[in-house]
Amino acid sequence: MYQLTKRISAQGMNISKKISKQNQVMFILFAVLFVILSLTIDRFLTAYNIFNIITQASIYGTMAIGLTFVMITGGIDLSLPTAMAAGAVVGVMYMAETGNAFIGCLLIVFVCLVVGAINAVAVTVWNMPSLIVTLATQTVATGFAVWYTNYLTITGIPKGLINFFRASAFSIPVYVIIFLIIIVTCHFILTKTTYGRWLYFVGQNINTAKVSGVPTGLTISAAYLISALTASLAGIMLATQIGSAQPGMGRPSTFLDIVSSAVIGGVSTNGGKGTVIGTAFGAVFIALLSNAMNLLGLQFYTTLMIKGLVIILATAMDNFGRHRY
Amino acid sequence: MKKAVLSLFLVLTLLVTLIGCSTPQTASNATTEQPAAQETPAKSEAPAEVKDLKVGFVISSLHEPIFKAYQDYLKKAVTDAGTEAGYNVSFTCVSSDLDIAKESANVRDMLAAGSNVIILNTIDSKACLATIEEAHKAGAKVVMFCREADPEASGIQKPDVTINMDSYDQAYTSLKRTLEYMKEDGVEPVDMISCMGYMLDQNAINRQNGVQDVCMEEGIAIKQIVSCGVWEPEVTLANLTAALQANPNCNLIYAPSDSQLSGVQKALERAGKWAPRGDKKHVYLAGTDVFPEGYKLLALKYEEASTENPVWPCAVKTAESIVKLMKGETIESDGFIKVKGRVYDQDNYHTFDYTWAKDYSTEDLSQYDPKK
Repeated sequence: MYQLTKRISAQGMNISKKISKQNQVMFILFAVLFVILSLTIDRFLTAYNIFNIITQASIYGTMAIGLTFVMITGGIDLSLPTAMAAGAVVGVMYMAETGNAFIGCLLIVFVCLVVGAINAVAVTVWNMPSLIVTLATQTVATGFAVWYTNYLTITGIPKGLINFFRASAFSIPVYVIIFLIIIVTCHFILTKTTYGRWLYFVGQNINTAKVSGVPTGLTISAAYLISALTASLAGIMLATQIGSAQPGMGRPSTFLDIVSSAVIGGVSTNGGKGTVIGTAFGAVFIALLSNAMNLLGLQFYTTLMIKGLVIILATAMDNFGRHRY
Repeated sequence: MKKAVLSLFLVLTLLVTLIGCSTPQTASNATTEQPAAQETPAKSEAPAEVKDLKVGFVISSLHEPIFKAYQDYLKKAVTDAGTEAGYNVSFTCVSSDLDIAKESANVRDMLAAGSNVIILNTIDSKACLATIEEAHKAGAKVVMFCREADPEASGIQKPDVTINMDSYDQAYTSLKRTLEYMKEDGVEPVDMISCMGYMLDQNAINRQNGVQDVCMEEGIAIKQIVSCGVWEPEVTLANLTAALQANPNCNLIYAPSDSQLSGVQKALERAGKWAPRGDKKHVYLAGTDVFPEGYKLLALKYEEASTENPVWPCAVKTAESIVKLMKGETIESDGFIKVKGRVYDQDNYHTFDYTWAKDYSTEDLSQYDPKK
């Protein structure tokens, strides 16, 4: 057992080194882009705009961090935005009826965890492909949210909860602080715990991990549950930001931003690679891109093309050198 | 090394695209197109002091030609009226792609860009209230355009001005005119089906109310109401197909927007009921907005009537209101302005000037006009 732990630790450290190099490239790119945008776009470098960018990144960035866990195992979780919407409508409706924000938030977490548990069981017990399973749960969650609300927007979130989230501490918005806490916690889980090392090991080669005694089923299941948990946190954050919940909160375009954040942040679509810090920077990068394009007054179709181009190039960078055909 | 080269290529591509595609939309380089050939008032003497008027238009989506018309007409009207009033006008339009979170982010981006007026074509009448509050806190004025905020909004969640088509009147007048055609033809309405637009859109709700009021006045029972989802023709097609199977004798349909007509047409084709007026199989169709598809179907006598979406008059009213807001003047009707549209029918469709559908059609719609 000692040998096994030592081997996995060594493997984990090796991966970390590789990731660091890729992240360094990404950070340099980010810094260069940031400086150029600051010099060329009027009003880009203001405190309001910088916090605006990070606040925008915090919601889908939180989900992107959850997706990072799943993607490291080699899977995908398409149900994230719709699970968020389903959880939010249930929780906000409860808050509106009872005024109890705490139980309402717990309900949001519960609904999202149910979706995550279904995904986990289907992938690990029934050996179903994650793409199909999460596509199905995405549809179910959407249908549920529409049925539960009858298409209506649910308002009535207690003022106290809204004021808490919209407040600032030392001029830093609470959304940004929560996002930072999520980043630090998840980074710790991935880099400093045995579970984190198992996750990379499973993503690199699931058969070797099994033979080495890693509980692969539990490891993957936990990834889907963590992913669902981040969806619920994002649901609470988004609902308080817009002051309501509605079944259309989780649009397909949201998933594009989530997966882009992860891919740009260096998470491999083939599994076994990725960091929370990288994903968080990826999320800020996507928000920065959207913000810059809006400040430049670019047409909508142009922003879509640029985003798509960035994702293609980021994926190409990931695969560069991996495959030789 | 290869990775570094690829990374550098990524940054360069991104920057070239960003800089190359950026089109700062200021009054000086504003579009020269003349929406609907509308005449603009003659310019008066420019005031001595030129102030900045930075307008951010957050549009719900750009997936239909009418939204492009909103964008172009507003830009033209605001630029003209602002310049006329002595402002240095800058106009930026960003699309929310029907995503409420993106709408909120877009408004914040426009505020970050220093916009002193936000024009909001919102996706959700209730969810936009938090966004309006944020804009007001940032010191910006908020003008709702062709969409309304929740009528229960109060305080800083209430928009400064709302300019909207009279969507209730659109449905009311269109259906009334269609029923007049039925009377002329001696046909009694049977098993009427009403299509309902996006349920979170106040215009869809107003239109449904207009339909219900006409039906109440005329003693017509609505047999079934079907959903169009989020203004999605494919959802209309699926739901209407089922409704027509359940009600095979249906001879009257209300479409909440001509954007749904492709779905309505396909559903009627599947039911074997797609035929022009005069044919026994014909189903009377009341539409809304006069999209290019609607214009064509009016001419070909598949649709009886459709009340226009008065895009240019709404844009002009919006521009006037913005100037008044900037000058601190009072807005008429307590800042809630409804603009009525004209009723297009099978007899008069070709007689109107300034039909936006003609400017935003892929085909020349004048080919459907009667030959002189």
